[in-house]
Amino acid sequence: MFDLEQSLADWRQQMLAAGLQTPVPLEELESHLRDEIERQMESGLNAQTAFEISSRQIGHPQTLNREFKKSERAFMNRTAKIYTGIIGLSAGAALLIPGSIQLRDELVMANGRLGLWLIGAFLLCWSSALFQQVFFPKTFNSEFDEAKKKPAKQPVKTGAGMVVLLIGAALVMPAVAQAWQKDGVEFAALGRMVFGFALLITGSLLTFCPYQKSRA
Amino acid sequence: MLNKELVAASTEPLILSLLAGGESYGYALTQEVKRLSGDKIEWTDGMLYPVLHRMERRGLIKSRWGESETGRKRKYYSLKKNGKTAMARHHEQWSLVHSVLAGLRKEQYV
Repeated sequence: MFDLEQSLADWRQQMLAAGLQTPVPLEELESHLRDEIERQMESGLNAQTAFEISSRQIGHPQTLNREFKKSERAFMNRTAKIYTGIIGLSAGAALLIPGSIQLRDELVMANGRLGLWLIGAFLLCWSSALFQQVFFPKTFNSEFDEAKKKPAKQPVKTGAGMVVLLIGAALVMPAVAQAWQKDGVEFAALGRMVFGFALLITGSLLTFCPYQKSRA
Repeated sequence: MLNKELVAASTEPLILSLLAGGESYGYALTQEVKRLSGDKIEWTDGMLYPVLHRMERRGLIKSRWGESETGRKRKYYSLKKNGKTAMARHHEQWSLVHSVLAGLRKEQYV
């Protein structure tokens, strides 16, 4: 004699065995399964056939578990990015403070502090990029905007990137030499250095990163 | 029957549009889509839930546990403000594709 409750309990066991551990999806799936079984039985099928058809329709335990895992992972990524971004922002700001205070008071920055200052600036840029990915993802806006953009020709881009790289290096060099010789960097040189680094980053992105990256 | 890629791409706009009509639950959503499409769009039943959960985490929809008419536990979903914006964007994009296709088909018959 077919026992619907027993079959449902077995089905739950199968789902748990496949790794569907969180109770929420399982309860929700079971509610769906029961709705479908009821509908099939109303249309004249017996309980056993209704159960067999409905449990087949709801999908294979392993496939379902994989899909749930995927959706959780996407969420974890987002949360992890937000937390990392917040930590990065705070750490970056903290690293900027000693150098900036010295710069304000003495118009020079000791090498050690300059190092920290640059790491701090990098952290700030990096965390803002993370926040941008989370809150303004490119894919979310519109697929059509993406299609409208025409990729620039790679040789032209490489050339432009090289020029930007060279200008960046030229700007960074004097400050590095000053830091090397005098054990400190003057305000003007520091300004040029930061700008130079920005150019170096832009230049390397232009030169080494091809335009069409696959959007994950 | 609609091909797999198109079913996947249209799941989110369809869920959003169905929920725009009011609170609903997974099973009712699958039945409604089946009915409206004349059985041509059929979601693999269980696959709908990971999509709903993802949309909830993205802040497009929200959910609450309630009870069915027979007293069973049931999870109800409804649209949030972000969901309405996303729906409007989907509608805009799908109508664009539709109007381009329709225009091209007309040209072929002239």
